[in-house]
Amino acid sequence: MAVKYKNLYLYLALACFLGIILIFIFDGYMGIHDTLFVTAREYPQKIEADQWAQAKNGYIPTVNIEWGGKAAFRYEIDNHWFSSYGADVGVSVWQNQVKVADVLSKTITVKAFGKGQLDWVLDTGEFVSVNLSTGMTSDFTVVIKRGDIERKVIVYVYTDANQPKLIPIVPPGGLP
Amino acid sequence: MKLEYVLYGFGILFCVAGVAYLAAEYVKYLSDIGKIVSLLLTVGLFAFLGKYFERLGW
Repeated sequence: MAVKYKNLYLYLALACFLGIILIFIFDGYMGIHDTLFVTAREYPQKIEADQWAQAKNGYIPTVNIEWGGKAAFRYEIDNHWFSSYGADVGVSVWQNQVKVADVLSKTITVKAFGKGQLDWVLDTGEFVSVNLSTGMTSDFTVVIKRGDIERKVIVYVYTDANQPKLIPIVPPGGLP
Repeated sequence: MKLEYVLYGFGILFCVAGVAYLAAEYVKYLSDIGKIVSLLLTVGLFAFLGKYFERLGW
């Protein structure tokens, strides 16, 4: 009996190891994963699964854009599944629960174990109608709707408080 | 030390390295239930390995 079950605990350990591997493959790797890349000024930012998952805790990823500047968005969909994936993707900008603008609306199809992507540029000058004076800020929410899934990113528009102020040059003797 | 123990050591090392790699790459995609089951299986893995080596007289 003792000889027969000599390696029992080793087999149980191996079963646990296999279980972990299977969970990582079927629960982790397999499925549809989306990632958002935002580049504002020279700062690239990556928003992926772990940050999307925090949305249920009230955390929404934030992107900082200087007023008047543009931000390049790239939304990537990774299809880690055996069949192709298709969905309607809509991107809109909201402020105070009011839709400000529709940015994009497109149907995307991603083949099995393939990758699809959508690109768009957000121009803050189009959404902030009034001139922001130095030190003032404005917030928007970019909503990316893919089928039943909704992703939100807060866009924080600011003016650079450290920007050099233009000082008029007054000639000696004052202005004529 | 027997050669087989050295091989066990290498095997365990590769297993732990493999799991660590998977954890680093894909843990962000795991669901909550997947995370908790993985944690329980990891605890079980080391517990059973410990018991196995205890039986061997380590």
